[in-house]
Amino acid sequence: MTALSYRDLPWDELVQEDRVHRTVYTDPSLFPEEMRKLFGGVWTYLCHASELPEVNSFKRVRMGMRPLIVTRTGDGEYHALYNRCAHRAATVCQEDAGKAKRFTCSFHGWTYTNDGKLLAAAYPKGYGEGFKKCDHGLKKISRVEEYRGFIFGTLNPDMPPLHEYLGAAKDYLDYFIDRAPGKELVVQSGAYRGVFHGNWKICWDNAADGYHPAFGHRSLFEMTRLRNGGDKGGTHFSRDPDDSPMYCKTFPFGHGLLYQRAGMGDSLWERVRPTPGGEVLEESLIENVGEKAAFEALEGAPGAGLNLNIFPNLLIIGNQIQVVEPLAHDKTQLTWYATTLKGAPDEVNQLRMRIAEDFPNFGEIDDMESFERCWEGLQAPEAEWIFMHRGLQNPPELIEGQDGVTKVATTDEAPMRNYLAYYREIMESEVPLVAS
Amino acid sequence: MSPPKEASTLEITKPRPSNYLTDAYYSELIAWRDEAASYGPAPNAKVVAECASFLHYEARLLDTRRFAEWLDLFTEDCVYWVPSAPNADPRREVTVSFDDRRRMEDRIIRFETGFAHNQEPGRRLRRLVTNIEAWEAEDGLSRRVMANAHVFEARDRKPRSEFVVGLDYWLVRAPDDTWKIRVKRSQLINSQDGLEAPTFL
Repeated sequence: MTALSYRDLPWDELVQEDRVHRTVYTDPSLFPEEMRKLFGGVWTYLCHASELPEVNSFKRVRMGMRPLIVTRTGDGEYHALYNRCAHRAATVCQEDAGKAKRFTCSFHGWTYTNDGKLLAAAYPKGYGEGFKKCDHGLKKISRVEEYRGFIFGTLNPDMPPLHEYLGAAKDYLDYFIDRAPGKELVVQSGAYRGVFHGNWKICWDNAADGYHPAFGHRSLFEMTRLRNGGDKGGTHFSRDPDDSPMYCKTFPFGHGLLYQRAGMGDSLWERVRPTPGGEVLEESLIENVGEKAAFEALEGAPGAGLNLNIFPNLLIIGNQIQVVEPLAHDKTQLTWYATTLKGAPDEVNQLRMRIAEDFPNFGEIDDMESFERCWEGLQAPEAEWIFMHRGLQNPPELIEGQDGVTKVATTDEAPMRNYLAYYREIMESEVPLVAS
Repeated sequence: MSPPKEASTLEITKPRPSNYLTDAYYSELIAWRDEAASYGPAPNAKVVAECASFLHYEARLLDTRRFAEWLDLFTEDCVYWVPSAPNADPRREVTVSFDDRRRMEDRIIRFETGFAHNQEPGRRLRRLVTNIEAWEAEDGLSRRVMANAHVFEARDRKPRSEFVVGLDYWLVRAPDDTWKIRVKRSQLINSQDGLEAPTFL
């Protein structure tokens, strides 16, 4: 019998070792559960500390469907407040980002401090004597933690500390950040946003997929070959990627990695496709700091050569941070925050902008097309399964001293199996969600 | 209805070096952008009419996918600029696109590889260009044109995409007395929302 809702099957049948049922993607009634229990029940990426550069800075974000305001207060603490008046639910902050000590609801004038306390309700005597302001603050995400500027939140008191959640995936995040001479990433350079019609997990399936580039990105590779030839762009995917030094890894808690860097030769700057203004900035840098220092610095301009996926919503890709923002069960926004490197020459950080525009315009658009084609195909009820068994026959390499980390071939679908196994673990269990 | 074939093919050449996006070029561009606020009503109906004709022709080339001819409307030191945040400095912030001529050529060649999945099945484009205003510099060598555009992209089995765009052009007079586009700036009214990969705005 064909299962038409995810409720028709137990979780151990919906997500198996080698395949996943289509209703996990298509059933609209699953989406609110995911947004409630998953985005909030695990450590969910909120924003970067450099987006809150000063005391009283704030930024509006979402955790699943929860509208939040992340604030920084004078004591150096970060708070993730629900952008929802405690009175009748109106949002109290309309700006995307800025500075504010207080948030006032425009509907009935309730005013809150930027750590969420109710400062004043208008005409308080109408509430009688029992009204306590301390009972009517903005709700808050109970746990907010940061790793090297990356701020995450969870409502789940049982989640291990953030550094444990990130585990050995931290090494690759460190590599991404440590490309900055000042060992800090700066996220103050705007964003490119794309949207596709399809379930958010289709994007996640692809996030460490070393199998698709030669086919999915053929237009980009072909254009690059015709125009530039040589070793520019994605030529490390033009032969069987499993015969290259590239690899994938899986980590506990659903994180995954496609490490392209190992197949990209000595210099990333030499491989980068011609970039608007590239020659001018290269020359300017050589003139300013000399050839040796210039070419060292230029290595920081292109992408790092890794796709690092921190479940459930943070992807490190190129020289950017991509945040997966599900909008509905059939609509997903991908926000690519441009980043700069603290301590890098201006030329390098300027180059990062033009390089950041390359892949979303020339590569991701074909990915999003593939995602939409998957979505169209998934509408057939009787074709029930999505397969992810590539490489399953090969025993994964275990990493000494790193529990639960595996290393597999570039085109192995282990990263997809890995995140879906953790996804299932969360979805099939009772997850305590406690807002403060 | 089968999708339209590419009406023109760009000759594939090795890209020429791109040497003009200097700091001075960026500064000039930003000053030009910010000047717009000081413009009053367009004083010369003949200039407006000529520019309207130019913009309508450009729109037709894009809508009929005559991209190589479209590219011929641009100078060698051109920029096709689609901002993300409206007032950002593109040296410090990412845009939707900030193409020099070389990257514009790259886009067109990608369309013509036959493997550009997001262009298959072929998109049918139409744009309405209106509210055209234009000013000519005193020396007669450059013009500024502002207009609005409503761009439609239709595809088989897909929802139709629509983009509402404020257009801003920097035209320069060529030696043969025709006009070329030095800068085309296309400001989406919802540039901060997720975009469905527009072909050209």
